[in-house]
Amino acid sequence: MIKITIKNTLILTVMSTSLVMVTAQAAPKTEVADLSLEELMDVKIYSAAKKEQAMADTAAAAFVISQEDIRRSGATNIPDALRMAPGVQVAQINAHAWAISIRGFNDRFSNKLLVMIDGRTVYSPLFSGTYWSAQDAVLEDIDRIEVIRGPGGTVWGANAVNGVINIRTKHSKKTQGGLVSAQGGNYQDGGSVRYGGDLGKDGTYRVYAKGKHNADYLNRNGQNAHDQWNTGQGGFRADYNLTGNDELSFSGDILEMQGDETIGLTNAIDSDMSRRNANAVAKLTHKNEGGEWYLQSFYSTEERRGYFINQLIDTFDMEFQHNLKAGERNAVTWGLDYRVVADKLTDFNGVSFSPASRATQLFSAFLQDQFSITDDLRLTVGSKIEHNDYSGFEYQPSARLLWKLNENHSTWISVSRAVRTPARSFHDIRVGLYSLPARPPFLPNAQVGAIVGSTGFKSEEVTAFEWGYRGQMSQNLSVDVATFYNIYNNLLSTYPSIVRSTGLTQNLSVFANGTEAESYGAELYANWKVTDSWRLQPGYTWLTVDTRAKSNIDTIKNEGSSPQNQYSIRSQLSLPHNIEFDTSVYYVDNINNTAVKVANYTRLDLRLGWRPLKALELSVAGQNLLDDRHPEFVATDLVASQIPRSVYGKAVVTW
Amino acid sequence: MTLRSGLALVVLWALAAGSASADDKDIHEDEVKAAFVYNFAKFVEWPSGKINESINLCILGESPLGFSALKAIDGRTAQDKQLVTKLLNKSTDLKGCHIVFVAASERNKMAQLLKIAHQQHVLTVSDMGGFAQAGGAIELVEADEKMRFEINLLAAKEAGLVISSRLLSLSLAVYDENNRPKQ
Repeated sequence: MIKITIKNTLILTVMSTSLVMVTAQAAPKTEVADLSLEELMDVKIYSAAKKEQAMADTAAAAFVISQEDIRRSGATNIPDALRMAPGVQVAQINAHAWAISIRGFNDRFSNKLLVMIDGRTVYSPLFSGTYWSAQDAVLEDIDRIEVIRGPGGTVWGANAVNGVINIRTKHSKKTQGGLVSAQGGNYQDGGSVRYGGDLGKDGTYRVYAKGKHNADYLNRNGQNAHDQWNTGQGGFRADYNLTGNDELSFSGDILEMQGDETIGLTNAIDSDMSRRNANAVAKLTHKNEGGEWYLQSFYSTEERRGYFINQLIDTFDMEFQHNLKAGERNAVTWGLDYRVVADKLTDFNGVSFSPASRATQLFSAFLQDQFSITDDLRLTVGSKIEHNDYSGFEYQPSARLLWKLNENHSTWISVSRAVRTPARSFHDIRVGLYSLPARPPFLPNAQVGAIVGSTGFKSEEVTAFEWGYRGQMSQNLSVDVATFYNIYNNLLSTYPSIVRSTGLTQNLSVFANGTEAESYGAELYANWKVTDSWRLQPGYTWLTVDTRAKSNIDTIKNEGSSPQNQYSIRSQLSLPHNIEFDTSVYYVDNINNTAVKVANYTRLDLRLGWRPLKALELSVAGQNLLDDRHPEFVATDLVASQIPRSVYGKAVVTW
Repeated sequence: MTLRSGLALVVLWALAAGSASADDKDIHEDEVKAAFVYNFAKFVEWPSGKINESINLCILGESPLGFSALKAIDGRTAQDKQLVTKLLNKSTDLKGCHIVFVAASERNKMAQLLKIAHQQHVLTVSDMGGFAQAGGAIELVEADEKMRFEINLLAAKEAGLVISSRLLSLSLAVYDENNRPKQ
């Protein structure tokens, strides 16, 4: 077996395709302007330029994954769709666990990333990480996924240390009519149903249901990894236009999931896991000439049952944000947020929380001003002030400068500070590692080993320096470059503590803030419209992270691991007879440190789509096609599975 | 995967690419918007004497209608007149314009702009959300990956324009005396 390397694939592909392109005949082109109104109204449009244009105005490293990108990638879930965004590391651990991070520190519970669905935060307040298997939607109803690399704490608040991922579903006005999608394959089966209609003269709604089943993967010994899972989900969204300027939106989802996982702290143990999630969101938006404000409130509840703990977590959040023009040159944004999180944790198998039930509150306010120094030079400064029950007041300021060199080129720099406020675990957890009975005279005391949280655990901090450039090189080629240098302080560490009492010695590792780190890197990507029907998107991510203990009693806790180099190239090709052929190649460097050792791998995803009728789309897709299976990551608490080659067929009917 | 099957894939791709043509793709929204604007020029009646040798389409603000999209409609004929496109620089001087396409960047100047446009019998078109409800004549609306439009008949009347029934019948929403936009 010769493993095909990324380099070979790329060279071959580019060579062969460009050869063919040179010899291809110029096809006769129908002018859009010749179409009648009726025909025009039936034309399906895409708006790649729109996102690029909006992006060109942002003094931050931002990327948008569009609905078209999601559809053509063949992704069957949100984590796979995120592979498309440069600077994001997506590594699958087992059939239903992923490690996803931006700019380093990747881990199953990557805790420096803020993840939201329609503005509702979905990361777990227990670990600050995200359970990705519970974040899903009818993929066709996602409008876009916005990915911001770098700190976003000034506006978004805690946890937006290394980036923000915001999954935005479509307005219900855009999902009118029915949709049925069904998918079957060697690992994944599933289907979705959605229907959207009118609510009187001024409102629209949609309702949906989705179900899926993932089969067991194999572990590294080729045995059943016991990680199959099933999930069922349903929900709605309704938007009601109160006046020309005010809109009221409601949405809600429920999700139920059950599956298996293999726990592996010391021995591999098969275990069941299940979860139930529900959320309800209400949002009032007001737009007028002077600006825009919204008031959003959400309630979410999640119950997760697993080997170590059963979690029941309720979150209530209320948020207000106002954008307004202040004179000719200033655009002010300010906002307020209040959140309360209440949990009830039931412990098993050596992991415990003290107290077992806790309610915490968070208050925050931010103010940001975008000042146009000249028409081409724009300065954005602001700060968030936040109070949480674990670490008290936190401030997260930033300053960003955007310079539009001309219509087609812009460059920006920024300096910002963000914090990752302590999650409940770092204060209150106890993870039992071992327990030995006393054996006098050699071992007079019973011995217990554990990792324990600390009420003195503070926020982790980052100061980030960023520079970026965007250019529209020609009508068909745009490029984007972003670089950064981040200085981290007070990252997670442990220090040893021995507590002796009568007959018992406890050997504890206590959570502390004894790690410092520096990271630097760059993300490059291009969007090249080679011909009207062929788009190529190459990307490269380079990253270096250096961590060190602040003193010799501190032990660096595994803060996660990310590869140094990631390359990708995606191709979207539209063929005659409504056929699409789409290719994605991803190369991910090896990870080799004390905590994580994973070999480099190349992943090839292909999709062949055909739309024989306007209302019907058929596709066949293969993922991870280059080998039978390989590992993408490891986790501390789970036995990692190997990610297999998977193939599926899909049909989508709309009316 | 072996090198050979990798090659086979590439060849497959290359074959597929070889037969690619341009007319089976989704069309960029800018081209579609421009084509809509061209169609509007065919189905709107200006007060007599307003139009001389050409129908002038003015683009105001940081226009989303890209250069190539405009080129595709520039010089075409509507109502036996040539359609001439013209880019306005941040000015609100609409002299000589018959249609003005208002980019979303001009949202803050809209009230003033609409007033001037209506006084000068200019058809106002925009793709910014809420344009028709806010007093613009025609708003391009994206719905389910397709382009549609809404008409504010009160605004058209104010500008002294007559919009053909064909346009009205295809409109996603028509605001008139019986269905006033909520302000």
